[in-house]
Amino acid sequence: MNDIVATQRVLADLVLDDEARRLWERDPMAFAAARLQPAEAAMIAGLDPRGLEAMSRSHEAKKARFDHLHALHHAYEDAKAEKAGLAPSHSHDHGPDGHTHDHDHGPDGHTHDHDHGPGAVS
Amino acid sequence: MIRVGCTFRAGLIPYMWEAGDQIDVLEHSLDPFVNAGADGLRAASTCAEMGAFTLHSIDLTLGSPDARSRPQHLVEIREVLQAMEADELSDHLAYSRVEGRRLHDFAPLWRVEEQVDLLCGNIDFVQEQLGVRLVLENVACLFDPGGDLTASELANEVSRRTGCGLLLDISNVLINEINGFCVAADEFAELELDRVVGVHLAGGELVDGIMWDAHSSPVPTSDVEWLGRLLPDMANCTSVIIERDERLQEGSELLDDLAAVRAVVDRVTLAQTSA
Repeated sequence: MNDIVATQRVLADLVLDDEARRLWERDPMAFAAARLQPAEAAMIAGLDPRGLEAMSRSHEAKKARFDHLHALHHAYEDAKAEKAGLAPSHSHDHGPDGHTHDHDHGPDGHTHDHDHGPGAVS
Repeated sequence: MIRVGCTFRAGLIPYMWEAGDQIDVLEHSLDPFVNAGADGLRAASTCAEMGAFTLHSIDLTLGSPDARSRPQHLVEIREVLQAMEADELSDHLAYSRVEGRRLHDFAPLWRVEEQVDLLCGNIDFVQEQLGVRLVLENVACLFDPGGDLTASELANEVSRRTGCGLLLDISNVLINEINGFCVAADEFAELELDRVVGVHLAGGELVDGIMWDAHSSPVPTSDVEWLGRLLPDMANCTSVIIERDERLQEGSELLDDLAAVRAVVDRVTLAQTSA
C-alpha cells in the first residue's frame, strides 16, 4: 500500500527546502529510507536531480513574482480603502505558509495579466 | 463544432482584435476572479459576455489531499462559475499544494493505484461541490516519478471512473518526450481520444537542456501536425486553444498559430462532413 501523502510531503520538502535537497543529493536512498517505506523511498531516491533542481529554482522565481504582484495588490486595495475614507480592510487567507492567497500566478507559468483594478477582466 | 481560440490575456488584446473572426473561443483564467469580491464576479460576468469561452484553473490541486482542505475556496469558485453560467472547468492532473504548502509549479503524479484513488476521490468531491464537470489536462514534467501506469492510462482510468473530460495538451506530451519521460506516439496511441473535449497547444522554451512549457513562442509545426493526426478521432472535442502567456509583445506570432490551427481544423471538419 503506497503512502501517497507521505511521498508528497517528502517531495515538497525537496522542492522547497535547499538543505533537504542537499542531503538527498548526497545519498538519495539513505535520505528517502529514513523517511519512507521501501517502495516510496525507491521512487524518491530515483528522481532526476536536474529536474528537481529546476523545479526548485522555478518555484523560487514564480514565488518572487507572485509576492511582488501580491504586494502591489494589497497597496492598491489599501489606497482604495483610504480614498473611500475607510480603514484598510483588505484581507485574504494567507494560509499556513503565508503564501496561499488566491490570486495565483501559478504552477505552469501563467501570468494572467490581471491588475486587480476596477473592472479588470483578466 | 470545433472552436479555435486562445488564452485571454490583456497584453494580447491588440492582436486578438486584429485576428477578428479567426478567434471563436477564448480561454479565461478562473483564479483571478476567485476571492476578489464583487469586482471579481463582475469581471467574470463581463468575460462570459464577450462570447464563447472555456474556463481554466490552476489551483484545484486535485492530486493531493489539499483539494478538500479549502471549502470556502470551493464556495467562491462556485460563485464565479454561476456568474459566468459555466458548466465545465478545467484544471490539471497534478498537485500544487502539500499540507498547506504552495508549490508554484505542478508536481507530477506518481502513477500508482493509490494516487489514482486519491485523485478520483478528489475529482468526485470537487465536481459535486462545484456542480460542474471537470476537464483535466496532462502536464509537462521537469522530472518523472514513474509508476505502474503510463500518463495516458492514468488519464483514461480517471475519466472512466469520475466522468471527467480530458483536456489533451499535445505540446506537453511532446515536451515530455523531448525531456526523455515518454514516447509521444505511444502516449497518443494509448489515450482514449473520445474522452478528449479540448486541446491545448503552446510553444515551449529550451533552457539548459530542459524544455519548459513556457507558453512563450510559436506552436511548433510538429505539434500542429499531431493535431491533424489526432483530431479526426476526437469525436467530442469542442475547442482547440493556443496558450500564450509570455512574450506577449510578439503576439503577431499568435496570428500565425491561429491560422495554422484553423487550417487543420477546417480540413478535418471538411473530411468528416464529406465522409
